[in-house]
Amino acid sequence: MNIIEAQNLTYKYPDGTKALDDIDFSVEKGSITAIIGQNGAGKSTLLLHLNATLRPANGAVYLENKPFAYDNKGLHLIRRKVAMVFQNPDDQLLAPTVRQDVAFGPKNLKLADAQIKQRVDEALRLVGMEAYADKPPHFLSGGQKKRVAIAGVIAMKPEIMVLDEPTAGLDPQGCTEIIDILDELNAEGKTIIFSTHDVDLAAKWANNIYVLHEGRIKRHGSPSQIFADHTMISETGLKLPGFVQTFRELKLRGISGGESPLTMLNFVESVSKPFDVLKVRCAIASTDVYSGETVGLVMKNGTLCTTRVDDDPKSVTSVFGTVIFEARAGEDIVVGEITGILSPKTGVIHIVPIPRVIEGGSRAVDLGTICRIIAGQSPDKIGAMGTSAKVVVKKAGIKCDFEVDVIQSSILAALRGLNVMVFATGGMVDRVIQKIESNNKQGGQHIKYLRVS
Amino acid sequence: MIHQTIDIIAHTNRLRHIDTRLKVIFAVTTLLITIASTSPIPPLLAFVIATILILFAAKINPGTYFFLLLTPLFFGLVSLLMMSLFFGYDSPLYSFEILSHTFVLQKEGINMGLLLGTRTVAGSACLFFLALTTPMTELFTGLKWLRIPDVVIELAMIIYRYIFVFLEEAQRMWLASRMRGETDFRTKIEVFSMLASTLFLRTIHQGEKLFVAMNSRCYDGETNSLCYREKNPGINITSLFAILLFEFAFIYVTIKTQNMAFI
Ligand SMILES: Nc1ncnc2c1ncn2[C@@H]1O[C@H](COP(=O)(O)OP(=O)(O)O)[C@@H](O)[C@H]1O
Ligand SMILES: [Mg+2]
Repeated sequence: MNIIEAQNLTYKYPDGTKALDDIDFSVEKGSITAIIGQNGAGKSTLLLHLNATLRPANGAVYLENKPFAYDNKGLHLIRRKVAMVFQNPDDQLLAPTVRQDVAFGPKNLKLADAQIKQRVDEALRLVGMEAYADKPPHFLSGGQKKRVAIAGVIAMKPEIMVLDEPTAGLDPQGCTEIIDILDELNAEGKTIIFSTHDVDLAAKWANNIYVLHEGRIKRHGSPSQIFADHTMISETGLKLPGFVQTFRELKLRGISGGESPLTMLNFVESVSKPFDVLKVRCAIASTDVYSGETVGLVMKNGTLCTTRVDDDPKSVTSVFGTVIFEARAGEDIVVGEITGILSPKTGVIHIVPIPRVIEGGSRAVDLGTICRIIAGQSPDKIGAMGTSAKVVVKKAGIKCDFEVDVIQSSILAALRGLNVMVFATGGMVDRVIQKIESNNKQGGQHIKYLRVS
Repeated sequence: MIHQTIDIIAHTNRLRHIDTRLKVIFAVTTLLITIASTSPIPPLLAFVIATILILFAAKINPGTYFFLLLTPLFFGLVSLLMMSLFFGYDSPLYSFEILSHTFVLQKEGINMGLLLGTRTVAGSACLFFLALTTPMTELFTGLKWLRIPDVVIELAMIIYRYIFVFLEEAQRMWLASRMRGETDFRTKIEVFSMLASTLFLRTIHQGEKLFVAMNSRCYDGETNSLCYREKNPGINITSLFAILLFEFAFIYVTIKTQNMAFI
């Protein structure tokens, strides 16, 4: 179902600039939609129509198939359901303290004090800013201000979150933190619409992309459809995501094949598929080796290594080869006359569900059990997704390897033969499973997963 | 920037978590008594007490405090000088001549000058006590407690919030102009006026953005949505009593020292 939709939308600024020209735009409930385009393409203008800040000169906007009503009651309804996060948090944070700012929206909704308090605490916890509740915004960094701005709209419990350039001006860490928070909100069912000129972000995160150019929709579709059209991308002054560019170069050289990848994961698979392990003759010497010596070959952490056949019978694999040059431990060596087949072993992903913040979050979890689970499986890598999972891992004093891009990092690690344990908050469990299954279906190496309870 | 420094001190000093209302009652009553006194002794006393609280209880850097005191000290000295020269007529202490004009130092004038000067400095010290130990954000709730209308408080809150936004903006613009390396006085003036007008335009622009942002979060212009306060615990009676006791003692001293002069 389309939760929000615009038809034939045209807008002129009072000075005559035609910022939007006959826009058709629709967003499905629960999806993530990106609007990409150059500066001045009209992204902000389009977004401002979605919460009725601007009124179209022509055409109409529909919320749940009902046209926007621009009277007081209608505006109140629209703005309660469609929350707007502005590009510059300083334009949005208006109260003297973080807590007061987050309470601003709920107060306008005329909620009871107890309910306001609950929503404020919950929102601040979700964005990880509860420690800053009584600080004024000018004591915060850009990323922290952004998180408070997001908390300010979360506290109103909107259905749609509209974000204008949510990652502009943030450092990579701040960027991934914001995306992580939004991802968690999306997993809980909120629809997300954002504008950006970061094509890498749009490629890996959005379900749907609209390309806006000089006030018109140039194209829309899934990330792979959008970034397959290289001419359109360059015509609109955008660039291709890094992976697509690299892939193109590799494909031209016959190294990768298949469809154009959009994420690191797709990319790794596009490269690794055509490889036959037996064709690889380069390995790393585990100890000093001499030419003519026979060594076993094993995969360790994703690299091909030698093992000494006579030293350690347990690690001997079914693959053997002869060393061609003499080399010291740790150096690259070339191995010839390889016999046997080395099927790369994939790791297992253990998924541990953690309750959401509103379900009690980290307080509803027994840390002893968590530690026992970890001790039982002794995973090679640990990841945490979502606020309360991160809090749990931190409280239990566990070193977390993946806190951002967790699903992708976990799958990549599993492909390297490592066992991974992922602590996932609420609905994010299903998302991990979905991603692993779709990866398995795409014909890559099969990865096993287990739901730990 | 001194404003930012004061704001940071107010958020971090040792008396930060003392009930704002107590601090306001203490500072305001002491200030009023100081102003009402007719002898320089109560103001001196108030100054000493405020200074002790600022330096030893709140542990504020003495350098910052004395830097802030420079302004009231200057005005205090000016009023002392002016008063002793031009006030009173029948109690000459000393006279001297500059450029064939006779100046007479009057006893009455010196006393008046001392009173005004000590009041200025002591009154400022009381206000600095409040400013250095209590964040503005807390003062707003104090204002609400004093039954100041919500509209006024909300306006003050927004002004407070955006002062810092504009300070940052002004600082950035100033730095940017410095980067481009203006040199002589004339260019400096030109750049300054340009910065001022740009900042003014941005202020107006910011006002529009603020309006949009408030509307986006369902603001209807009626609710006092900014004045959210989580808890309003009862005032600590013992501390309140101690402060009132002190203030009564202070009033007693003030009455006893009525019209008492130094010379
Ligand atoms: N307040 C305004 N008044 C007049 N023209 C504007 C205003 N805001 C934006 N524009 C113009 O509208 C066009 C689209 O702007 P905008 O939506 O901000 O683009 P984007 O967010 O994609 O960078 C631009 O040509 C811009 O100059
Ligand atoms: Mg924009």
